[in-house]
Amino acid sequence: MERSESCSAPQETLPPTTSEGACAEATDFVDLTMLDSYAELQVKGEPDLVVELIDLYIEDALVKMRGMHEVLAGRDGAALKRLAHSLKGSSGNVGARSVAALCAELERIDCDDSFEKAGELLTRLRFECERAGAVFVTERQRRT
Amino acid sequence: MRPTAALSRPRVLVADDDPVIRQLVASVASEGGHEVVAVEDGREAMRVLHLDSNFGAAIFSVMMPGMEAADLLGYMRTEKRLMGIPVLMITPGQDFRMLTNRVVSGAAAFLPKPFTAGQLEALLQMLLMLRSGPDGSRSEVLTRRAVGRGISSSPNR
Repeated sequence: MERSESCSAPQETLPPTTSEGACAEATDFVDLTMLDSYAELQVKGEPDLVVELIDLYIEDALVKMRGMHEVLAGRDGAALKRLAHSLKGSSGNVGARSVAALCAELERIDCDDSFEKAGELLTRLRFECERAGAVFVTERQRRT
Repeated sequence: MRPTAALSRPRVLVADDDPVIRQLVASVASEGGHEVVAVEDGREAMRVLHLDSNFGAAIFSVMMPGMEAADLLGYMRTEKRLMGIPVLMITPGQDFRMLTNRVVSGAAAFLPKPFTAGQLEALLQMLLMLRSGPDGSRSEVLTRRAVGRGISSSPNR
């Protein structure tokens, strides 16, 4: 799977998102200054920490998005909230603003009572995850 | 007196199920010259602490699968050899009302997500100053190191 598509669920189709397009509006939904702030932690001779964080985030977001689709299908609202909560934390720390905001929204709603609403939010989350992923992939390429 | 390896390179236990946060916290601690033991959840942290109490500080996520930080803190506060290890709790956000009394009373400091490397580093230095020995005394080496980085050595507990 391409990294820029890493947050997507394979069974659905989303509008195409290019890295270039994503970068042009990056400030709206991704704050790259968060990742930049970690560059000071880079140890000479060690693998690029920011690249490492991007890779970890994309891989982890993919797993959590898949998990959210599964638990939504199984109508497990509590598990959905837990996963959303978890993704919110790492998203905030890498500057994926819109992903973090949507996760917070998923956490707030009563998923058990409104699976339809949760499903809508999850679709939006997937889209935002892809947009953020495209920006991170571009940033990764810039650094390697 | 020749300092022991443990004192010359403070060790930090990190437990967070989120790989991004875990890597970030470990990097901040390593960059500060600390030896890091990073684990994925509270249960694993508990296993480490069963065998090893030689840590200058511990950094836990409040919510972890398997065993939550509150239970881990509860265990640490009942074991004499672990009582002196100051714990920094990483919280999901600024709203501390969700924290249980056990967490509030057991932790030395709280850091809400998202956080910067600088915020974490400053808190970690503070934590290492709080580390007390089995007799209640603070580590001179750790204190000197923290003072050297421009942070007050005044203990607050």
